[in-house]
Formats: sequence, structure tokens, C-alpha cells
Amino acid sequence: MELFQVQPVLLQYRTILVYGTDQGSIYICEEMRKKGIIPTAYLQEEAIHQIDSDIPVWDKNQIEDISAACVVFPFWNKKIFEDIGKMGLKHIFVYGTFYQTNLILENEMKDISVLPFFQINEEVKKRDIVIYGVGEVGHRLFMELLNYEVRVKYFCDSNADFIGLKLMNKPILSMEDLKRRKDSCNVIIGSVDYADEIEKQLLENGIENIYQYNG
Amino acid sequence: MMSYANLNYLLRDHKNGFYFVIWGVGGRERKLCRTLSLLDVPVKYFINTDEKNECKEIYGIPVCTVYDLLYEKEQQKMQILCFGRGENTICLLESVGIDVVRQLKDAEFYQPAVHNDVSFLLDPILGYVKPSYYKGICGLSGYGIEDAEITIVTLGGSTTDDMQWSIKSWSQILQERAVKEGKSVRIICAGVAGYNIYQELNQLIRDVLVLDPDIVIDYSGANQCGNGVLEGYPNIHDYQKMLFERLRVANKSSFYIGNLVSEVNYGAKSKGTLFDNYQLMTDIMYSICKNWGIAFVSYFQPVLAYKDKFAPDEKEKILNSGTIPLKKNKVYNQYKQFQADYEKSEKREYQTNLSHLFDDKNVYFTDVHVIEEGNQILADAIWKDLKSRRVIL
Repeated sequence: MELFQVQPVLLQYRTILVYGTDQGSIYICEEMRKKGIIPTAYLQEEAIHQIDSDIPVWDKNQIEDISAACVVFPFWNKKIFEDIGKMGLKHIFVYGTFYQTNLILENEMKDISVLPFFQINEEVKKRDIVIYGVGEVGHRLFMELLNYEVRVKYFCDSNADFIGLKLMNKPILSMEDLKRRKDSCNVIIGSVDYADEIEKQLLENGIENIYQYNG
Repeated sequence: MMSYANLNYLLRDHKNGFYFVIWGVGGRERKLCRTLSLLDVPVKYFINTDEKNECKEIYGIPVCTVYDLLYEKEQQKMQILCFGRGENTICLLESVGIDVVRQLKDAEFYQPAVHNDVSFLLDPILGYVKPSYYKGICGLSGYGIEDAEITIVTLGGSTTDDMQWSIKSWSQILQERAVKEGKSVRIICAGVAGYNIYQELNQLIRDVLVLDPDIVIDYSGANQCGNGVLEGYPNIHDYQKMLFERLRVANKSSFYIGNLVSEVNYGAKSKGTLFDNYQLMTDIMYSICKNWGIAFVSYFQPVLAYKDKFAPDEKEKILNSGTIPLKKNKVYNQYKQFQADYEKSEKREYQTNLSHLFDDKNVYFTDVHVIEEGNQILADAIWKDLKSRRVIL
């Protein structure tokens, strides 16, 4: 199961624009397509720079129905967001890093709503959350969830050196401890390189409520 | 939001029995409270400094006035978390007898030894320099009388820098030690956070020789590997890279210097190992000092990665530091390789290996920085070494 989901409100828009035509914007388009979301157009200040893509490049004058349009940004820029808000658009979604998510969640805009592109899958919050893995990815995942104000209850790791210690004030469990709690926990795999191996190990131990975090 | 490292420091203080009071009742302060709640760290109360705001409680936590701090029975265990350490906040707290340096922590930059808000100055040779002046030279601070018999200059990175933390630096402790033993010693601390050996060399040439010191001490090694070093360019520290990349981007949009500035140049790519480069730079520093009649001593500094065994609570400390986890990673391996290269290299007469100094001590609060007790141990070790070398008689 995926930990992050596309913001449901974005899916309600008929016209989804991606701001800019540089590498970041093209990357977002490709990622959106993988998730079955087809952007309507790239948006530029002046649509003079065409790119080799089946997705057209528009300027703001080409947006037929402003109220049915939203913009996806590959970066945070409060000034540009405010300008977009003055055009009459209601939503901006930022496809960003942890740092940008932090900016989004801490800043309120006057005329427009700015949201992270992804939201946390609500199902994951329905049980105690355990992060499997206390390495770099596990650390990063913990901070990401903190950003979204999601409580992590435990960590878990296979390394016996860590069992019984605390990471960010949360106890680190062994697999046996986790097994005992399997019905009350959702486990998020806090590793990219060993994700498949860990998933297999969890399933072998009867733990099925597993979420993937792609780092 | 606080960074990982800063939250980690706060948790460490919580574990050591400190309790927290949040200064202010705005959005940021409430977010901080919620974050601490997610970390199972309670907030005792908020301090409301706005008389017009009649808020009595937030999330079930009381809101008090600054005067309520007067009634705190265990002030020494209190940490006041404040965003930005404004003058008004400091004045108000001092007026009620709060030891601001020890207790007021900037919530965004929370550090166990009160990380000071240091704004660096740009420097065309060194990249940046700390904003302290001694004898009109930026980047230096002095301990002891000006006409002392012996002048020592200390060079290094953040473990030598005396502006980063509110604890005593080893330079200051060394000077006090000398005075206790009846020596007339002045110490000029030239340590600046992030400096690697190449910056220290340039500092020596430009800013230290003019001081006419008797002894130059270099305490380094930590910034020669790990995340601080730009791959392939060991004389460029990550902070310099960050600074110049930002200047390059700023140049494109805000100021114009013709065609002069378009990209950033990092110089020739290094062919040798990280240690080869370090050795070369210290050899050059030694030659320069020798030429000027200055005694030069280079100390290979200890870092957490060099420890083979950890105390039980130290393991948890390392795990939470996020910088060098117990599992081996690239940074850890670089440090170990650097140490191995040093230990098998041909020893120079001016070098002393201190990499095992803290092996049986629990003094680290990051992967390289130590608490004041650590600086005491370090100053002691350096003092004894200087005497055994007969550099100090």
C-alpha cells in the first residue's frame, strides 16, 4: 500500500496545469502520468518556449475556465503563488521536497490555497504507526511524518544493537515485539534499498498492514 | 520546523530532566507545541507577552505571564523555547532574573550548548569568516593580556570556533590553564566553523603571520572528510560550495558584473587521497611557520567515528545523531579510512595524534563536537603536549 496519495481535491479539476517547462516540470508531468493523471498543459508567463511533448504549452490567456483549473508547481515561490491567486485560480499544488512541504504547511496564503501534491494515506493513521528501519531513510520518513503531524509510535529494526534503544524518543522493537502488536499496527518500510526484502520478512511473520515509502 | 538535529538535541535535554516553556502563543509556537506532543515531550506552559490577548490555555496547556517565571522552583532545569532571540525577550527575561544564556533557546536553532546566532561575513579568500575582531582582524578572538610573553594562535573548524556555542572553547580553557601555572600566555582563537585545512593555511598566511605569534596550533581533521568535503575537491568545504552556489544564482537575477561571473570554479581536482591532501597542507603550514621562526604543532582531532566501543547511552546518542549511524555508511567509512591513513603514514615531528583522546569518555553531543568537559580534557592534553615538546617551558 502506498503511504502518500495524490491530494483528492486535485483530482476534481478538469484542467491541470504544470508550471514551467524546465526539467523539474517535465519530471512532474511524467510522474503524474505514471499515476494516471494527464496534465492539460504546461503553463508559462509567455508561451513562446515549446517543448518536444504531446502536452501543449499555454500562457494564462489560453485557460478557458479559470475556476476549473489548478496549477502544479515544482518549487515554492510565495510571490508567484500570490500572482496566480490574483488570476482567479483557487488551488496550487507543490510537488516538492520535505523542506518545501514544511514551507507549505507553515505558510497561509491570502487569495489561494497551496497544498502539497501528496497527502498521507488516511488509512495509515487508523492504527499505531511503526517505521521499519532506523537508517537514513527511516530518519527521513520520521521527519516527513512529523511535518504532516502524524504520530509514529515505534520503530523496528533487525539489528540487535538497536533493540531496546529509542530513536526520536520512540522505542525500537524487535521483529518478535512487532509480531505481538501486528493487529494494532501499520508498518511503513523505512528503507529503499531493502524494501522488498523487508516486506517479505514482514509477510513471513504474519504482518500484512504494510506501507511503502519511496524515499 | 526545527531540523532533525535540533529536535534531537531537545530530546536529549528532555531525557536529562529539563522541562520546556514556550515563549509566545502564535502559530509557530502552537506548531512547536504540537510537534513536541508528537515526540511525547510535554510543554509545561506558554508565556503570553501580549497583554491584550486573554488566552488562558492552548491544547489544555496553561498560558502564563512572564512574571510567573519568578515562581519557578527549579529554574535551572527549565528551557524557554523562543523563536528568534530578540532584544525585548532578552531584556524582559533578564529583568526577572532569568539566566538568558543558559535558558533561552532559539527554537529554530535549538542546541544543547545554546547555539549562538552567528552571521558570518563574506571573505574573498576564505569564503566567509566569523564576525569577531581582534587587533582589527576579523575572524579572531583573544584571551589574555596583549603584552603576554607567549602568543599562541589556534586554528581549526567548529570544534575550535569559540563563537558557535555558549560553552568555553578549548582555546579559552588552555589560556586559563597556562595562567594557573604562572605562565604569561595570550591565546588568539582563529577557529571558524566549517574551515578545512586549506582555509586554515590561507588564514595563517593572511591573518596570522602579521600577529607575530610564538606558537601556532592547528586542531583539525574532521572537516577533511565526511559530508563537509566536496567530492574530488578536498580543499572546498560544503559551506563554501553552498555560499558560492547561492551567489551564482543570485548573480543571475539581481546583480550584474558583466561576463565575469557565470559559474563557480573549484580549482584543480585532487589526485591523491583525502589524507594526502591534508598532509600536504599541514606540511606547507609547518614550512611557513618554520621560515618565520614560529613553533607549529598539528593535532589530529578525535571524532565519534574513531571510537570502537560505545557506552550504552552513547549508542543511543549516536543513533539519534543521524550523522553517523551505527550501521556503516559512506561518511563513517571515509572517517575510518582517513584515520587509518594517518596512523600508517610517516609521522611528522610537528604532529600529535589525538584521535583516541575521547575513547573512554562520554563527551560527544554530535559526531564531532564535545561538551565543555570534553574541551577541558582537550586543553589539558594539548597543554601537556606543548610542555613535553618544550614549546612551552
